[in-house]
Amino acid sequence: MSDRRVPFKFRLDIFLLSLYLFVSGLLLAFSSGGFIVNFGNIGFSVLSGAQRGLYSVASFFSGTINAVHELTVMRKSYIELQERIVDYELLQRSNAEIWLENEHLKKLLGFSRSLDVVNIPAEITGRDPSNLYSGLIINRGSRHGIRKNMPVVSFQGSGAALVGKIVQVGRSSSIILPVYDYQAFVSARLQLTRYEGLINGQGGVDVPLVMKYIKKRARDEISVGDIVVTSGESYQYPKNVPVGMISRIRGLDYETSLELDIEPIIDFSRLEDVFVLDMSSLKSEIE
Amino acid sequence: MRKVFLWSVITAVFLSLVEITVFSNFPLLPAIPDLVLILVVYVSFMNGSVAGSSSGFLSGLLLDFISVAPIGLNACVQTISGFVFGKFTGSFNLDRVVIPMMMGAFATGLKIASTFFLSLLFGEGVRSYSLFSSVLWYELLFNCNSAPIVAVPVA
Repeated sequence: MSDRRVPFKFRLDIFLLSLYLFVSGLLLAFSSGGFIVNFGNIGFSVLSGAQRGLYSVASFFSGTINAVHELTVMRKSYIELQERIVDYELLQRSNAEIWLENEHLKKLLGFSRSLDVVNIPAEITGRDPSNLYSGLIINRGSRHGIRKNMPVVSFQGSGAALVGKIVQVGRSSSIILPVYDYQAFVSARLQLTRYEGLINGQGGVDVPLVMKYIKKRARDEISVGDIVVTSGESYQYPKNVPVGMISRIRGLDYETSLELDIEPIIDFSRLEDVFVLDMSSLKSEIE
Repeated sequence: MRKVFLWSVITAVFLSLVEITVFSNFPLLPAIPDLVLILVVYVSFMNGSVAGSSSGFLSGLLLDFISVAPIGLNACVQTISGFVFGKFTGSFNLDRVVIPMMMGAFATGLKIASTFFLSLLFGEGVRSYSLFSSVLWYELLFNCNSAPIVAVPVA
């Protein structure tokens, strides 16, 4: 009887592929299940430092480009007008810029003081690289007192409105999950009629949020343009912070609840400054 | 191999930071080109499946750290892309525009298919592209166009 052996050939590429897929699959399973070691925070802490560095360099270059552009504009004015008028305009412009900056800072300081909860002002320095997810990166992290799940608001127009919540914290940067992301859920109420529902993002800045589980009897009491605010349940978000306004009401005969399209109050395309709220101070006050 | 690996990871860090800091802040861009994916495709095509899947895994992991996507999603997608494109090493000659654009399109298609498959496996936590969403088509367009630009320094 001949000794027949099945030839075994070690394939490094197949081995590596299997290993990498196994590890990434494991990470994927852990990241949705809440594993003890938060790989995201560790990696984000390392990368956020480099990201901040690049942001500074990018800001420097954009500042330089703006300065060059301004110089060209000034030169045009110089040709068109007389030298004294140009000097005067320069002075005026510089004054106006300082005044505007002063106003902006005053406004931010006023906003920060107007909030009842302890808050940490932050600036948006980057956005999610993936087209399927919509994180916003801010320049404040754990060393500034930011922790996971802290709510984030901003001021646009007359008052504060909800931006989202912190989902990842690095040492000096954090990631906000904005309300329009697929993974964002906010317990909310209609400001006037107090009907409660659950707001869920649809993944895009231009796509309205959807508010579900509104009692069908609310149909006659609500109308397009009504403001929706946070319900403040479980101290996830502060109570009565505006989220958006109703842009469409949908109710099917066979369903027991209504669905509302909500237009966010915050214009995320021009969002620059945000305030991260420390809800633990409010919670301990109530307790 | 070690040199290629190191070099590709450093470039991936740089490209991912450019994506989150520069491209994502252009309000007029309807989608962000996936430059890291293009890089992985080239590294794989030039150096084979082993280097491709390794650099894909690490580059994807880097992207996961700076995104709200579940950790492991980009690592998985980029590993698959790296492995598949590594299998084409030496199969055809790279020109300057057409082949890189086709590779960019194929890589985007593979990414779309992989995310769809992973969304089936891991449920709602993993988002997949919708064929009716403009984001998918813009990303395809941007990846095709940016592929020849990324190809020049890599090649």
